Amino acid sequence: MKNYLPIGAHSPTEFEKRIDVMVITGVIIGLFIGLFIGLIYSGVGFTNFCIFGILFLVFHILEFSYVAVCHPESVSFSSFLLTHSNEFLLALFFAVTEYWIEYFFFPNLKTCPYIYIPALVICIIGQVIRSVAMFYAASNFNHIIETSSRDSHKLVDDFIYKYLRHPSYFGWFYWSIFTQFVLINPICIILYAWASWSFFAERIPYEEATLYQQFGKEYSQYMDRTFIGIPFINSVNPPDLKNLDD
Amino acid sequence: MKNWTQRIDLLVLTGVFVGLIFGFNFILIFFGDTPIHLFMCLLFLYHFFEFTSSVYPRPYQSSLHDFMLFHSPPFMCAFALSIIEYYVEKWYFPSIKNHIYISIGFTFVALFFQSFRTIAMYVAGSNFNHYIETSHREDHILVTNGIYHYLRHPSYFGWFWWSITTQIVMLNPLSTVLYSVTAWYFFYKRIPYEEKCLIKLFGDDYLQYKQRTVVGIPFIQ
Repeated sequence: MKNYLPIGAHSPTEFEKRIDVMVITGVIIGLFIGLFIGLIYSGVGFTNFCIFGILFLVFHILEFSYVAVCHPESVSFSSFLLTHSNEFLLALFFAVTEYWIEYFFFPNLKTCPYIYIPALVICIIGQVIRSVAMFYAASNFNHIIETSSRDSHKLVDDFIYKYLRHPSYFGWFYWSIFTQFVLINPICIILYAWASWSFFAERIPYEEATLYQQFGKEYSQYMDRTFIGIPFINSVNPPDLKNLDD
Repeated sequence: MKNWTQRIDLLVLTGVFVGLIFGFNFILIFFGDTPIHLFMCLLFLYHFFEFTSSVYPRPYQSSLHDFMLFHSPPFMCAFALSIIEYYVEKWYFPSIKNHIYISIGFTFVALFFQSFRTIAMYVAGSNFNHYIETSHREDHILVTNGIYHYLRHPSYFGWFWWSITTQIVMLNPLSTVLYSVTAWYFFYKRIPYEEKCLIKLFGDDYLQYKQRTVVGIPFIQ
């Protein structure tokens, strides 16, 4: 069986497979989480920026943990998804830049707890949904759409998958948007919502077409009784196989 | 399935934990009670370097033991005692804990001695072990270069003085004495035994090496 490779991760070099490289990355992530917690504890004004930093870093730890637990043969530095894609890093840059520019001009508006605390709760719920979905689906979950069937590949349709067809996408979609509510970034809220939505609007129909191809009527029936949960994204049931020709 | 202590997810999460404790305490050096947070940073920096220098000769193989987080029961007891002493004295004799500049100064001394241990582990490479080896390994050689040119047990030398200076950083008079005596006694028992094993392994080479180097811990020959 081919090695599992998360989306955005390149094929890892020997250096990236070193245990010390992965652990030191973990230490550095932990260091920044500790710094952010220390700053919050010390009562700095930009509490919500620290909260965002923690959410962001915990996301990467959980993505890595999923690979390490469920696909240990494929684990490497790239499993952290820290170098996910240029778009991802650019979006992060925009978010941080917008925060600090607006914080400079409107510090009180930027740190209103009635906005960022509810947003934090929603982010945590989104992250929990994503991670639970990934771990529960175990080796059937893959960051890359699989276009050939694995013998061990089966349709997961119980627990959280009983209600949501793509719970990890559902969780991540709301997580990513509400991180920008945590930061109280009006521009990036719109930018992130549009970027996430357009990504899933293209990906989900294609993925469902491949799943239909593998599971046939079973998947079609599954689609009848479940939701995607991301607004304005729908799939034709049964999925149009012609999409696969693209 | 591997031993659970070798699981990569636990190794990375332990790394996150070590980094997190260090980062949190680092901030509180400036915003909180300086001496104890300096101590915590020194302690977790020590655990980080224990890991990196242990893994240096074998980057694809590691276990949770490399962090030395649960060093030994005496180590854990000593740690607890130093924390207790710190807060009891802070409560009853707060003026003792106000000498921040002693604390800061000895932090740099502790880092200096930490460097002896870490450098020694790097120089020894695969010849270093957290445990005394009593049987011969094919690839086990006598290391006499670098820091070992002057000190026979540079990692013990570094650790001995590091552990004492951490208690000076904490401005803990009782623990400074306790750590000195305990660490000294530990090496007083360990070093002669270890050298007996090394003489058995390397014979005259080691005896000659012993002639031209020192241990660096007082009253231990």
